[in-house]
Amino acid sequence: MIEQDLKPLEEKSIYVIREAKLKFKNVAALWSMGKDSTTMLALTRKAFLGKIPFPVIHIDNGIDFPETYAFREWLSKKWNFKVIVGRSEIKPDPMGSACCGRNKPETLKKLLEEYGFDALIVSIRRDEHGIRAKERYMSPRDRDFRWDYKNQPAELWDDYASKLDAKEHMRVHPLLDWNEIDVWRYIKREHIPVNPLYFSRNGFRYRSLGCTHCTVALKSNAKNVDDIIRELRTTRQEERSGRSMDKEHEAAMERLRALGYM
Amino acid sequence: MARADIQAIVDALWKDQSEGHWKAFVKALPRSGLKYYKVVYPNGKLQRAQDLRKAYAQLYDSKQRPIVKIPISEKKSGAVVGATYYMKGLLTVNKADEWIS
Repeated sequence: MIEQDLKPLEEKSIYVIREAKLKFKNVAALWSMGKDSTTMLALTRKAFLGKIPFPVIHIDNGIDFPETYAFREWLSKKWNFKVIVGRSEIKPDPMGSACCGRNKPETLKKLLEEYGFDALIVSIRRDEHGIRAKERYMSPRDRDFRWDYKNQPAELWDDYASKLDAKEHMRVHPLLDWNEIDVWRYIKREHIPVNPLYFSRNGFRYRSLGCTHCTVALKSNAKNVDDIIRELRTTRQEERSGRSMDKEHEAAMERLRALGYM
Repeated sequence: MARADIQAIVDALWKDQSEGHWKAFVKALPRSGLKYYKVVYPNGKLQRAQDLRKAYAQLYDSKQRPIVKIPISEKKSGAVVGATYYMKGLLTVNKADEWIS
């Protein structure tokens, strides 16, 4: 796994987060309590002198891991930020699992209408999945949440698209260039708290976190951040190999993202 | 808390997954001796609310001995929603031979 210099990555991410706050009227960040979105919150605190100046959204399907809920409450108190919880329903979805699929974007859509957010900071990375590699730092979504990945605005000389039509919103991706190992090296450097599910117990740990239904623990003896970094330097296993939603249908992730999934 | 007491609370929860019964479970949890959990979806699928009603969490004590099974759903204004939030404080057991994928 390629390890990059953390300083330019951090600078770029902080620049993108500040640009989003400057260019849009009503910004929110999505937080899954995973390592990437928690790192994004740490970067936001760096960008705004220790504060998180916008609300943080958790789309909760009610079956997340108990450790994840405990981490949500603990960190939001410790870092003093507002969490908006959007409860998504468990209902049939031809796209796959009833816990994700269309249900999460539907809940997000309702929250956007209720609060009037025009930009959402999302902590996806290009190295996670082929379809996520097609994203831009600032990527518009239409009023139905659709993503036209074949027709995205160019991003030249750090100049990002910010014009939106009514009821459209912008997805902002400050961690796009980071690799999984960069995130863990940054967590180590900045002493960022992480969900305890990432650490091995009984020889298993979670490498990518979803809910109790779609996430499977993988064999690992990594009991701390140093162990995880060491493990990632040699592993040949994909990061999302423990996530069933990526495997249910051919190109499932591509179709989900086109419909507004995070 | 005696095992019979937590069993009575869990029995009530199986009969009716109301908020009141979940709150009674949360109150009893710290003194119950329960430490670990494993969530099980019987047929491996979660495609409708009915599947959620069949799903359960096996709870274990500190020596990872299975003690009791609880539902993971809640009845909220007529709908069935997930309720793993009420299991805060428990840790995933991660027992290698028990994982289903």
